Amino acid sequence: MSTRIVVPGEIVGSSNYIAKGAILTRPDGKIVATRVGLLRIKGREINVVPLAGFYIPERGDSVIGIVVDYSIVYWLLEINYVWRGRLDVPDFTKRPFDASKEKPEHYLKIGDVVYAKVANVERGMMPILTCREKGYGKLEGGRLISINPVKIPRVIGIKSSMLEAIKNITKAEMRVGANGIIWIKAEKPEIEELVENAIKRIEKESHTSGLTKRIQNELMRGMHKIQRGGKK
Amino acid sequence: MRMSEEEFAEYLRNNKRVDGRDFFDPRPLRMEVGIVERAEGSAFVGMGRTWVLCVVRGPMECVPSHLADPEKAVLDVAYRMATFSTEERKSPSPSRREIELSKIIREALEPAIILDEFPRMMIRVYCLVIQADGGTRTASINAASLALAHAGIPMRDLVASVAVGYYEGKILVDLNAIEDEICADVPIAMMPSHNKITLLQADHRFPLARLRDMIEAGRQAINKIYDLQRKTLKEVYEKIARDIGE
Repeated sequence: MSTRIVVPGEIVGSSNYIAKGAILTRPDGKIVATRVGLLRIKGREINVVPLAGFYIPERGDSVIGIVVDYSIVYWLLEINYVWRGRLDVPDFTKRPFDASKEKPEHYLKIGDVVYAKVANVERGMMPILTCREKGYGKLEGGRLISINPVKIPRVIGIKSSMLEAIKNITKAEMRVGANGIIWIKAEKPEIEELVENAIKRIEKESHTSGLTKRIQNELMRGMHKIQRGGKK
Repeated sequence: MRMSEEEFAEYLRNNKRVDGRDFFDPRPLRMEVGIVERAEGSAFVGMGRTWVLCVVRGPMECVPSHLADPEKAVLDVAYRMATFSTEERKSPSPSRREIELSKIIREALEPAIILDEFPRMMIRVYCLVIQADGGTRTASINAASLALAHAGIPMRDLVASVAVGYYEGKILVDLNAIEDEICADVPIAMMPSHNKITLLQADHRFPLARLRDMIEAGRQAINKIYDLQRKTLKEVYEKIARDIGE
């Protein structure tokens, strides 16, 4: 497997390859990259993994949103997209909602952080969010980190290796939103800061190899320092 | 600096250009990306003494909303010259020329951007001319395509652009302000990898038979600019890889 950095317009292969990612097949059969990205060729498969970009929601994505507005039956969540996401009250409370007796702000106020799933999204319209499945809901405490959404797969890693490594070393609670927002909650604010710095480093160095190892070392050193400092 | 036409013609008769360049050579190029931290994409392009800063925001909600297109994104280009960019102070209000150039730059970029992936959205491109010495529209196109690629907006190709001039049988590439005033001026923008022209303008008179030669001369300079654009974009990431010692 070889990797190199490509830019828009660069010819990366011909039509006898199977191509995915940020690519375009020209009428003459040439495959062209459409974004700045990492070119990965594995057998007959070409993949351009973008290194810059923005979040476009897809059905099934897990996202982290911040409540910015509400009406009598739904909240509007800022999810780092052109439009806000709509979360209907019953999709959050998981039971019938009577707007004449209750108000949405009993459950979520403006500024609250919610971990939700994209239930439906139509091109050029407001995405619909839901918290009906297990694991989704309001996130309390902790801190939010915002990074470029195209770097999120790297934060999770292959078979979530990176995420597991961070969790194991720091024992922090984490939720990763596909929209580039990460929520962390740890015992001490120092640990949260350590994780934040590690994630910022993943974002910056996402296109290099051996990253998981470097991050593990950095976290281990940091944790050691924090624990030693605590005993004094 | 100003120069009379006789003086200028004298230079050309001696097979020289006013700044000592070869006839087909572009001016010294300088490119940088990611210099504006707040923006999704940004680029600086210097072509000789013409300096342009370009910033890309978006995709964002279309404003005004009646312009929103349900089939594709709207590209909004604002070309402005800084008040200090010219010899005499330029009034900060948008002039007719700036509005026209905004449209021209937009039309040169539109074929390269895959706009139909973002229905009802808007991509904003701001080009600010910091210092003007001829060829501001071509420098703006070069900077804008760099900034768009840096922002991660899907593109068919980068757009590279240069102005080609014609004066009494001679073809000059990448005109500066003095040459621009006297020569016939043909700005060309291309998508080099697809071999397509996205902008071709002309002012003043020149024999149509020479147009093919002029485009060919422009293509050589455009390829040089295109190579530097690609190098500049890759450099951002390659530098990080070098810093950690790979």
